[in-house]
Amino acid sequence: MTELHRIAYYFRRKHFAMFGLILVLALVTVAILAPQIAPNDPHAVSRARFLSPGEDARYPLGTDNLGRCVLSGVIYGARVSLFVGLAAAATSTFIGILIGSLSGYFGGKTDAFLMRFTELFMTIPRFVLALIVVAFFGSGLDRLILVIGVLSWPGAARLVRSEFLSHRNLPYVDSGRVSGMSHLRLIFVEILPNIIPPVIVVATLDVATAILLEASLGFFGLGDPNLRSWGGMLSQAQSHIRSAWWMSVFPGSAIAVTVLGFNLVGDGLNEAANPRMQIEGGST
Amino acid sequence: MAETTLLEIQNLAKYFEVGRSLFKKKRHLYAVDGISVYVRTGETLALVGESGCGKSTTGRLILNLEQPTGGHIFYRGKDLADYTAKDWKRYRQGVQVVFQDSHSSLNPRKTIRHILTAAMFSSGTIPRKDSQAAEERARALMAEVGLKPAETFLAKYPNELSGGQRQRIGIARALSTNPDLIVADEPVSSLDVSVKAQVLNLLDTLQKEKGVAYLFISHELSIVRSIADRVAVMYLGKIVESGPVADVFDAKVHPYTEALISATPIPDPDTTRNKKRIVLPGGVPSPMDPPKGCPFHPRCFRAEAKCATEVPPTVEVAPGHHAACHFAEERFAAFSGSSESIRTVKSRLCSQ
Repeated sequence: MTELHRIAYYFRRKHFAMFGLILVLALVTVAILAPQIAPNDPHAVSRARFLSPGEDARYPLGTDNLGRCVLSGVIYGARVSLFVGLAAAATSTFIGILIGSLSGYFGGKTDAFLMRFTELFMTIPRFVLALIVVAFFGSGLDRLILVIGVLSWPGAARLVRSEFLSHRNLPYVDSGRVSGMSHLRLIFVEILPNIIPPVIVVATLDVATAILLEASLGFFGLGDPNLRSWGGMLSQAQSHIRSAWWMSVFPGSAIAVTVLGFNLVGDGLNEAANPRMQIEGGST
Repeated sequence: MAETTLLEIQNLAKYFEVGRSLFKKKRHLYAVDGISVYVRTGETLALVGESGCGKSTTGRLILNLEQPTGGHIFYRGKDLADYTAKDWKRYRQGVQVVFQDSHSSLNPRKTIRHILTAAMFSSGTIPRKDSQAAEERARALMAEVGLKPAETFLAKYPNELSGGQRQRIGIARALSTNPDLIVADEPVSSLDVSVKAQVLNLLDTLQKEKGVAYLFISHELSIVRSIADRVAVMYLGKIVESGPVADVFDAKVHPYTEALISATPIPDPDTTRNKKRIVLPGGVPSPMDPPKGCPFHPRCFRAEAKCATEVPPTVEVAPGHHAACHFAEERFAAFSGSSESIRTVKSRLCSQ
């Protein structure tokens, strides 16, 4: 049984993790099938403003201040959130792997320099910097992804570094050196595949953080103005929170459920990947 | 077999810096402290000593996994310090390694096929584009180390194999570059007794077939006695005695050698009962603060005043048999005088 099989085996026995996985898969399905399942065009304005849920069968979750369908907004918002979340997490994981692997593999001065650089990034208040960058360069989806990705890599970098530190002097790496293997080959072909499981855990948790960050930026009116996103919907709901509760509750719940889903999956993977957290005995 | 020197080490030293911080004075750990030894083509040189005596560091220095603090390593007569890229390529093919821990010495995420071919490609034994030749060589190697059918084993991952099988893969990988020297760092210490014997036999057969030399690092004297041609005994980073294995084990010129051998269990109750076991007082001194004079003097049963002040010279007591002890000549003479009684013990030992 390879390590991934083992992780899958333990993961399947964790009810919360499986629940999270179902949430995530449901969201992905909703995002992919949005045009088929959304009852209305999410951007279509109508005269039916502030309809409460159930008031009109065409708008199951009511309408907002511009008469747009809330349900359709939530469904299409899943596309934005998931896309930004996944793409930003991929970006940050990529940068994290790059910096962490060089730092951990070479050690010494390289490590000291790269880790001070990483710590510098960790001290920057992410949200404030994201606000400034988006306010400055405009808020397209691509820029959102880049900003969130570039601001979220330190966690992955530190994890990858510590994994490389524990692998760099293992005999299999030494024997590669004895055969004259290049550093790049040792890092990316030999060592990296060994540390994929913990990296996946961090990447999953990063997706949740990225989705939250995207929603927060949207709430401050810095999301992509051409797309309906959960954060943007919350932002518009703000001034009507006393009169039209459905405008905020549904996108808000969507954010909560998505973040919960990814966190449950991430935690479940983490526990399944960590042999010391297993209660059931079993060989590796 | 040609008696030419394959690898020669002169005054090799490795000091590790320890406890260096802003407020502390930096100190050194004298892991290997000026050793000289050589390996001839096709022979087995055993490096023995207890844990922490520097035998593994010596192996790592030869493999260029550590940079020496001082001294020279000559391979085929050329100093590693003067190596060009082309020399290094030849060195990578010529000098290989087998590690003790068969589990961590194979990449858990790679198939045996990848592990073997990667070594051939990286060392330049086989050009990267010639995957056909690599595949054929991998199969031939599997046959040589006794893993059949080759096809099945090549597709497996290390965790699907037993310890003995993994160690055979480790040996196959070392052989994949066609080396003339293999540094074997405790290659059988983690194996069961029966498997141990099989792997030792395999190493022996391979040596006879291919004429490969071994630097056999071990603490198991009974194994060393059976497999090695020559032996070097290390204590606190220094070689205290070296020579042909029978000479060293019988004469035991250095008191440390004598103590070490007396501590080795012999599976014969009669011999064990009559054997005088030398118990050394105290523990091994810290290699960060080695004793002055002879490094062994604080624990030595033969020590006299001058041992604490004068470093004993290395003397040749018999052809090829060296010892670093002030009383080396005297002790060797005493041994030669009583060699009759020794011979009976020896024949007993050999009949085990």
